[in-house]
Amino acid sequence: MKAVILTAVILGLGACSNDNNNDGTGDNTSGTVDMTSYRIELINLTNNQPFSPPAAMLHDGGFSAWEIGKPASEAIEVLAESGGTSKLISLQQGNPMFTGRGEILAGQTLSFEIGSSDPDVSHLTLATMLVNTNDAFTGLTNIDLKGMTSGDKRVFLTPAYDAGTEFNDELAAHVPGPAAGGEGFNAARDDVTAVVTHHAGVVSKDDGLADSALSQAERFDNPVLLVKITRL
Amino acid sequence: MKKLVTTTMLAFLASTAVEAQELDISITNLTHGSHFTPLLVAAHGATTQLFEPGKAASANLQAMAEGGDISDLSSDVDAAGADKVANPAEGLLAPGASTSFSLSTQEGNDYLSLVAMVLPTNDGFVGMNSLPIPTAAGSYTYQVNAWDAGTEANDEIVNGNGAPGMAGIPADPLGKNGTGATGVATADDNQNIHIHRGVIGDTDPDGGPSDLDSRIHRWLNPVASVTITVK
Repeated sequence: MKAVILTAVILGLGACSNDNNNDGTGDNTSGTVDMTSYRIELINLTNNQPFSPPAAMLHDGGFSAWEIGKPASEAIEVLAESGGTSKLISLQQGNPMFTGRGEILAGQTLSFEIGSSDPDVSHLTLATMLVNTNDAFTGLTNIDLKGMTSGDKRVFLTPAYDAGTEFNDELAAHVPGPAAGGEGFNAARDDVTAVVTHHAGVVSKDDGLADSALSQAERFDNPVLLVKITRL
Repeated sequence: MKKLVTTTMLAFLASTAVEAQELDISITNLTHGSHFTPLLVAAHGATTQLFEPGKAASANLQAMAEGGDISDLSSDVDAAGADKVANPAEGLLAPGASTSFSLSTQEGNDYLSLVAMVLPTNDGFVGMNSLPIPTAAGSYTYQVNAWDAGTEANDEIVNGNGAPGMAGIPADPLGKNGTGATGVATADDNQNIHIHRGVIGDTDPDGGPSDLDSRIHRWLNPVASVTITVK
């Protein structure tokens, strides 16, 4: 076990990405020795909303990836409309990161580790798109993990957010997930409310929105994601 | 503010009970048109869980979620050495109604769970999973969500069938269901325990896809409020 960690650390120092525990779940960038590390488990609680490959990062307390009532950043717009994480990750370049390799299907759990050697880099942000929607996403931002000691666990149930960057027309042409196969990111902002809010859920063709690409199976209520954080 | 949060968290982390406790518990059904079948409330140790989100339901949880039968799940918690209160409302808990009772916990039973079927649904249940019971004297209120056991298609057909593995909804205690529905959904895409996506209903009492009424039987989370008073 120790050997595996050392390998990961060495690769991290080389500023490379690596799959820390070689389990194919995703890529970490690590800091140096004396890391404060966390195991993060993400459980998709929806019936049929696959989550795009998530991005997670540790940072200092001066960063929030989104805020209710404020317009979404371009990074969140891209994430919420297409699942793309590169812009979000670039906002915290050089800090510990995790990016998933595959979707988290409904009912599935993704587990990964992330850690930092800088005691000020103790805040967690993670985000993922509900892909059978126009621009719904979920996650946590700027969660202070300082004060957790080895073995401590915290559990969060997170709501679906609406990025406010794309009108929720539910059209096949505009929903990128497998239920529709439409367009992902589009720089045009055409939502009636142009700030981040909670998401109201999808209507679906089974509830009277005749041209919706979605069925009752894609409907959801909050919370949509369960996050378990264990300080290692 | 940040300091306060940290302090609260530390207090919370340090609050794991080891000694026996006397708890007063009150549970309120927050829905507008759904009943809860008899509740099972249990204080148990860290290794016991009545249900686990993201995992398949046990057969005994399935029996509770599909038909409201808590007898086998109740035996499970007894076997695990839990302290329990079964059926505190002595029957159904109506929309807006509350039930209050006391629970004495033994040393080591530091986590509280509760379940009951949400009626009318196919396999929906209200569930709190392993809440660490606070130890400092005071009153604590929690919001609780509705889960889908993932074991039965949400067809929304009221046919009197509550047996595990049998399709259909046992009853609508409000008596506002229709008949003759063709069925809303086939098997869940997510067959692990997950947040219930809600019922869809329709407004046709003599047919349509659903026997439920979209104006009456829908809900949004949270569906229950639980207040624990630590003496």
